[in-house]
Amino acid sequence: MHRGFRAFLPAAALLVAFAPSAQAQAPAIPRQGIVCTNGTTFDLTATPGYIETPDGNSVLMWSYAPTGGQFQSPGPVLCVNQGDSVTVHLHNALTEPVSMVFPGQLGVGGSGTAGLLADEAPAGGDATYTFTASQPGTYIYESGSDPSKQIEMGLYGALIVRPAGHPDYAYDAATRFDPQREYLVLLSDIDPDLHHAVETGGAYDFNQLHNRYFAINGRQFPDTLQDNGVSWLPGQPYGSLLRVKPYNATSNPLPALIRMANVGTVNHPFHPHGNHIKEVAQDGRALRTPGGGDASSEHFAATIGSGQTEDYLFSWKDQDSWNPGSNPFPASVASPDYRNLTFKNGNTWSSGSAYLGSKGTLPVGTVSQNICGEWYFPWHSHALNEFTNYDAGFGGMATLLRVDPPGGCMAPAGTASILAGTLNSGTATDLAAADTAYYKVNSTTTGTRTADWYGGFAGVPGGSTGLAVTYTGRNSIAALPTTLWMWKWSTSTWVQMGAATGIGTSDVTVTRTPPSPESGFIGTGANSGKVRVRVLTTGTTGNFVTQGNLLKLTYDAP
Amino acid sequence: MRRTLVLILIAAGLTLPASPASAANVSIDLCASAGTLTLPGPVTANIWGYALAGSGGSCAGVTPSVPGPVLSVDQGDAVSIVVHNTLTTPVSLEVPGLALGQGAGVSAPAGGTATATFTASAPGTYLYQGTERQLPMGLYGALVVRPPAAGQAYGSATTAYDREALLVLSAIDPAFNAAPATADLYHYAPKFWLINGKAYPDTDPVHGVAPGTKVLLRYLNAGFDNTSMRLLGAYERVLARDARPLANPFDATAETIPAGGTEDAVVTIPASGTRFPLYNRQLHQTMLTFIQVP
Repeated sequence: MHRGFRAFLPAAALLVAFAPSAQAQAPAIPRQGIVCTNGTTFDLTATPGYIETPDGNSVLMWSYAPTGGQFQSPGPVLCVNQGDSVTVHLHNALTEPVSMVFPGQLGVGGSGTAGLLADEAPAGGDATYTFTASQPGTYIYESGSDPSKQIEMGLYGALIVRPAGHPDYAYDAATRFDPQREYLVLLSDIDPDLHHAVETGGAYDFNQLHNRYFAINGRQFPDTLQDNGVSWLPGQPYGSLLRVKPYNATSNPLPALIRMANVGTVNHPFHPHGNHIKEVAQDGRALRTPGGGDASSEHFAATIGSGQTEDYLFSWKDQDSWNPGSNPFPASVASPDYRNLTFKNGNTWSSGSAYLGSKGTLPVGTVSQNICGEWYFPWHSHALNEFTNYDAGFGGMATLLRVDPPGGCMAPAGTASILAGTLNSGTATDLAAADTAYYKVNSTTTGTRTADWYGGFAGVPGGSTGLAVTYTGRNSIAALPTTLWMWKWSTSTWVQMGAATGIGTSDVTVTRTPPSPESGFIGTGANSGKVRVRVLTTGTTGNFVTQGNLLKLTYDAP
Repeated sequence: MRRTLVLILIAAGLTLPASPASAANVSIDLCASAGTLTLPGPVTANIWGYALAGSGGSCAGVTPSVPGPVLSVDQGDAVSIVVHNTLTTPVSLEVPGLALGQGAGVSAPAGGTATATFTASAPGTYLYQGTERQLPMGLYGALVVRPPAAGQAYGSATTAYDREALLVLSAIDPAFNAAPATADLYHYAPKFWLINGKAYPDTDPVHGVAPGTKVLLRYLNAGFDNTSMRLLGAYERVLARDARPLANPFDATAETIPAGGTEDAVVTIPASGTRFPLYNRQLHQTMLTFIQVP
């Protein structure tokens, strides 16, 4: 518990007294990606709270928190639709006048006490702002009162206006994006000494500004990688891990949308690794030629000015499609060794393999954060003092781009166990690839003959989705009905996946998915991450041999 | 002098477009002199500034200003600027973006003169300035080169405007200015952030606009740092940077003008709103002014 928490109980009491609005709705929070607070009427309270930094510090912040809700920094991402009449009620739980300005919105009206840049809510009082969200785009909102103190203290957030009828456009058809891959990258910077001055009532001199913490969506690296809403960062609900799959003209044609905003005090040179990013707009206006054509531009270093927003479309393209089976590195070329991408203390994001979707061997003592051969690219401020937490690197204004394998994560069966029948030859290793090596099971030898066995998979993260099984195999005699099953841990039963497939004496490939909910098929506790897939072949009164060639599981890891 | 070259720097430099004329020989006499600048507080800072010389190039009794006088010439003019240096240290003059006959610039020795000659070859917004320690002392000003077409910043319909406002951005550290020859630049730390030499609340709003008025903002960053300016309640269409028109003008509410750079943007005053704040978004909040109806 923070030292200062008790001091703010009166503010908390005020929050309770101020009735929360039911009009702004927060949908289910995705693990990654933008977290919208949708609505047309929003109730916010300017209030103090604390954030945690990865180096163990905590810093007093001021923020626009949902009235009646949890303190959060930055303020909620307000998402509205083009044409909406938007109302923002601001309650002030601070001890000095506070206001909100909405750069890029025209004709902002409302009520409050006249202030320098906007109507203000006096200490303990209220103000209201109204405007029509006339143009789509990425905007910020921030304090218009004593900005050198209040914006530094954290009074800012993002405002998203979606095109009418086209939530999958940033602006127009040319800026269509994959709604599952929409990201906010809100850059900010903090001088903890100034915040300490506010906390202790000391002298606040903005001319002494020396930023020490640099954040994306209110968190510093590596906290930026954590999911949205993790319990151990209660005041910093927004992660910024970006995830894409390789571009594919048919299966993955749409780009991700990256809405970048700089609410910090200085310009930030942001550097995305991996591929160029395409700037399509700034300050909520699409970039156009005088004739209305496309004036977007591609960058691998983007300076975003203080107070500015920039929108980027991003498709990650696998230039060479190296693949250990179909397209291996030429023998004359040493396989790139990415094992040295260590982050700290022997932690690496590398899978140990240079192939997307493959895992390899890591040096002894190296711990991999890699799940299934996905690739990671750092996206970070290239002002390297900003790539730190209080001057200790790496940290600060950085996150990772995660490129998932195109088919999702893939795991071969790691074990093979026989339920009915006997082992003929082979091991689970023979199930790893569709090749000339087979895992062979003799059928039972009495009554209706069966061969019944299962492959075991490990390391499937809880929360994985899109589970799919691929089995390739054949039998020693023709057309035997074969069914695939998955073990449901929650009920300790095998669940059949789909109808039987007739499999004869040449290889047949069967793909099956389990029924929802998928969570029951991923082991927990002592069986954490385990999945079992059963292959049941039913014959007649003649003995046979089932020959498994490939048994693999694909899934989307969280 | 063919015509008045000086646009008095009042009302944030709000001026009416000058009537263009054919190319001419233009001679301007400037004094580089020591003076003071009164800032909110009040704080009195030592400055060096340019001033228009009196008759015969006399610097007697002239008062230097920060920024210096606005110089306005026509595209094609053959310009010569004579610097009369009354300081006890050499003073330079350069005009980035315009090719001086003398190369990068000229330097007037203490108590002496130097003449910079150039052709105002391309329209736009330029800084004229001293170098090194002369800059934070205040030796800078705006030079506007006007195209033949009146009311157009760059001689095209898309750069048309009804009114213009010069916004010379800079900062001042009175401690440095108290000892310009010896102050340690490692400790250079401005305390005042200025528009046209003034810190809010002393800045001059841009008055006299109405809905539909196209206000040309000529930003000139004479300060030491890149400066991001925020406009509230309206958009500005960025037309040019460093006196070169952009192929693809764009709309902005937060524009960063690099130190030493200039930028031209047109604000078309929207139908709603009567007061449009324009301020430093890097939170140096004395760099603040307003565009106001009326």
